[in-house]
Amino acid sequence: MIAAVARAVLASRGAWWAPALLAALASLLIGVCFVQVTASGGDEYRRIVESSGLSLEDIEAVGLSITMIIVPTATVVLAVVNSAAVGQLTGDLSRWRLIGAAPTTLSALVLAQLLLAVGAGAAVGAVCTFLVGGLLARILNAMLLPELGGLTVQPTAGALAGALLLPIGIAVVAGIPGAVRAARVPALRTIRDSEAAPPRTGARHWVGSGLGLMGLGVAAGAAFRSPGNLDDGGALTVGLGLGLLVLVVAGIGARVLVPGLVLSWTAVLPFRDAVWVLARAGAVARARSSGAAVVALACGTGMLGTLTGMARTTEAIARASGPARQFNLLDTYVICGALGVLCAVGGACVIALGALDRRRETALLRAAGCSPRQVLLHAACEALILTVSSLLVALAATAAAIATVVRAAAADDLPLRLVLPIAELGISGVVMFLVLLGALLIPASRALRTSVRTSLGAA
Amino acid sequence: MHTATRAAARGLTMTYRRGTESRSVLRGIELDVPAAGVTAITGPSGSGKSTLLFCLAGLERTDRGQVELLGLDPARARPGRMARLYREQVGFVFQDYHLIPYLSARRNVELPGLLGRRRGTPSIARTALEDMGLGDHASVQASRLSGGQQQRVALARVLAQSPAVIFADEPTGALDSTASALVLRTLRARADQGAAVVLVTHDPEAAAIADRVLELRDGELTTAGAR
Repeated sequence: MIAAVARAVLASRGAWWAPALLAALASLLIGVCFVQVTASGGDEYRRIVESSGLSLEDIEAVGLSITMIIVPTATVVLAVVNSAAVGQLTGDLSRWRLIGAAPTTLSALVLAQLLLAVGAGAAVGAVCTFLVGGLLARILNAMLLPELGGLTVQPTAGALAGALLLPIGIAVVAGIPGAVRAARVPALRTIRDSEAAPPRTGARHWVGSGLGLMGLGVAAGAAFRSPGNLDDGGALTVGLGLGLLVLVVAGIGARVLVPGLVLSWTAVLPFRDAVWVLARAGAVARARSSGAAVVALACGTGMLGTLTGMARTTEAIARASGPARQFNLLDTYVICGALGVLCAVGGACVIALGALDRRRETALLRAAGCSPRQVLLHAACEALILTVSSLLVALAATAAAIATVVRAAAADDLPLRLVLPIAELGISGVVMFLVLLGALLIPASRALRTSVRTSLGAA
Repeated sequence: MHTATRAAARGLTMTYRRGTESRSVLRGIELDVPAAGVTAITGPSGSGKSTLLFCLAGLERTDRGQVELLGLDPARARPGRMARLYREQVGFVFQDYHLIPYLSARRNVELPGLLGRRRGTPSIARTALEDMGLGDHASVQASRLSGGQQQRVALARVLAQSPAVIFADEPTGALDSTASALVLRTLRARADQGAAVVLVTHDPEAAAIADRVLELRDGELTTAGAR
């Protein structure tokens, strides 16, 4: 049975490589967090912290916060990539339906393949955690407290189990709805060859988006009514939670919210060039892949914006009200950098999963008279559209978090200040653009080097 | 190439390789496509008709031989120059329609004009769609149209371009008789107005509109009939 599923995974490796890669990266990140958290329970760890005059609870809380930042963010990225990968199987599944396979059988098949692919990736990640997790956790400790840098940290069995099982657990939870839906694909899809047409955004996506936004509204209302305290970090926790919730809602409603976002902000631009029109139409029509890529990239930038925005705003409020308070953001940058790598790889993977369709589309455009320069410009325009859309989602998460901090300051009768982390968002935006540009240029360049006929038959 | 020839092939050879096996589908093909009229290429399934058409149109690379299309050698011409040719002087009608699925019917028809920044493209496209009886479907996404409607959109695009050469690869292959008749009538009308139409088909009714019928068999081209 496992061998049969493994053969199926290998046959569909064009779809499963992305979840496996993401699972490996996520597993390593999660594993390092778990190694660090389990190390903080050791006696030597406590002794070092207490001898430095700091509170053990404060240090543990920071370590736990890092885990609570990385795990949900990795969950959203894994979920969108897994969903995009399952979507690539539609053609195969419709052929199975044509020969009489029941939807439940297909759901089980898809889920089994997902588990195997993600499990393989998570296993690689767990092995990497075993090999380098101790070193990376030591670096993390040193950022929390320099004196902890000398403490030898070994990955525990619990940490390794977490690194292995959590990505698999995420895959199961996030993968079940996709597997069930994918198995219901009609057999007619094979005959009609409507794979060329992007899948419709159905009522359930609208309902999900609506419910998500309503939930976000309720949570935001609760957060602003009780934003917590700035002194004890409660407001920062609430702000972080709200920022994360924005990203989760964006992930749930990606297929509706992202095309809507693209249509909205591009509508005010005066560009009418054919290449821009095509890029805009493509980003909207490919709602599934555009939405997944935008959300994946927005997670990394959103976390960076949320954390640095709250820190800088708190600093500004503190400066205005009395003794200056400065956050050391080095650990934030490092953690967000690591998270950013995961998110960037996730976004690039989603784009890469649609490479064959993009090659075919490039061939169609060439037959209609699109020059090579226009093909490359088309990829650049689409990268720009997706980047700006990602930044807008990230900005929403950042704004929600900062607003919570400002609300908390208002509740404590402190001076109100608001600092947007423009530099961080800008740099992250440039990196996102380069990642997307690379991911989009690769199939476009390949299509330019291949004959039109070959590219048309490639998908 | 004779000035009255729009496309030509000299010594065209194509071999398909799969694993250790190879099959010559085109063996030293010699072909001239006259400036106006319909040239039909028939032959059994798998004989290489579509391969010949794609090579002649510059959409497939040849193993050996030379192709000339409106005075250009596709293998040597700059890609930008070929793109301009496809926008302005060459039209395609494929069996699988090959429209951009997420663009509307109107946008698909406008596409060559928009890419070439040609003035009046929207009104020309609107007229072409109305001529094809799709005026009410202009805003419908191409993927949501029926096969017959999509082929009419492809034809409307050709009408809007008004190209000198039209390559049609089994344009009636997936259509009913009514839709097929419209496609063939349109291609015949364009040929009568001065376009060179190269029509690949295995349908005798489609071949019947041709001024010249060639048969591709065992990699070689022979004359099968003329009007």
